Amino acid sequence: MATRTINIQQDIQQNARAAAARLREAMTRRGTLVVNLVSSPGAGKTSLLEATARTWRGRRRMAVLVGDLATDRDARRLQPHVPAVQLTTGGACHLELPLIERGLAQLGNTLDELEFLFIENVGNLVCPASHDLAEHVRVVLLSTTEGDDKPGKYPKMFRGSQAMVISKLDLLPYVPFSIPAVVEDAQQIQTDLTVLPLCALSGQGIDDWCAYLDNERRRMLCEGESCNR
Amino acid sequence: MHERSLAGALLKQVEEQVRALSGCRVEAVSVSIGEFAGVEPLLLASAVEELAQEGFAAGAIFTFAETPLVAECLQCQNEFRVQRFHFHCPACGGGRTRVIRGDAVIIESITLCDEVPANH
Repeated sequence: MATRTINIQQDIQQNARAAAARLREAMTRRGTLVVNLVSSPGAGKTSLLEATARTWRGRRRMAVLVGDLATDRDARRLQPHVPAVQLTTGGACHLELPLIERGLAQLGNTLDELEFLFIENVGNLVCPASHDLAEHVRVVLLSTTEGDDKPGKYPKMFRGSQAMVISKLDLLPYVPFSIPAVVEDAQQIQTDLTVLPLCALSGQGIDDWCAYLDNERRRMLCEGESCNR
Repeated sequence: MHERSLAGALLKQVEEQVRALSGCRVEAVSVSIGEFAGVEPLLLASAVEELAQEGFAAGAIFTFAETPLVAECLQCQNEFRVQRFHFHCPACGGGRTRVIRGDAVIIESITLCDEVPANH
């Protein structure tokens, strides 16, 4: 029996990657910076978004897509402050692009002239690392209570992030957590990580976080265009 | 990453390729799994074998090879195998590096029989 072997060389995620790239490009054209917030459960993603909304207090047009397995608790926390859509994954431990697209459809007109779209991913440092949600920036949150040896244990997540927020700074005196150690561990994996220690509850570091977001949006708007800074 | 849903995606893409090639029976599929793909090779292999049993790829032999994570230094252009997920260049110590292979699951090749089966 004759056989023939055909060389394929196809990345099985090729279509998903291309779709994410197309959506990212569309968001760039709209002038909307898409930020994918990832972390373990309880690191403070929702609290950070609440603090961001409080600080900006309407001076920036932002919206949030929140992913969880169940409940709309996080969306309900955010809705008094900003437009927030809850995405419930059922059993899936991470968000994927089709669910994001559904969320965007639910935002409707809110999308018009939106400056910042935050995606609060499902609390999980593993699976979200492999799924492009059309974000411009991926921010990984690591709280002071989680230990300063975590980046090396989750290399794919830290490699794929552009910024690391060290949250719950107020608890630093009470836990054996070294900021220099965690920064060194993370930068072995991703040298370009911007490090942002903060406390969402007290507001410490939040101004720097907001300035980082503004700067990333400026960079997005300028990339590929002639831009007078 | 979920190896079971990945297995489904893999088989679907093999099927698309086979239809495009208008061959007959799939004899073999060769897959490479990058060590930074976020996939456990044994789990993917067993998920594929299970799902392939009932379908166009029933009886096909799937081979899985793990491929190393290789990066390029953007400073000195050195290509190096990334050890223990330390991405700094071993030659110049530079931190600016780019992954060039080993972070994806790739269908390398498909082997088809050339004859059209009698009940096609």
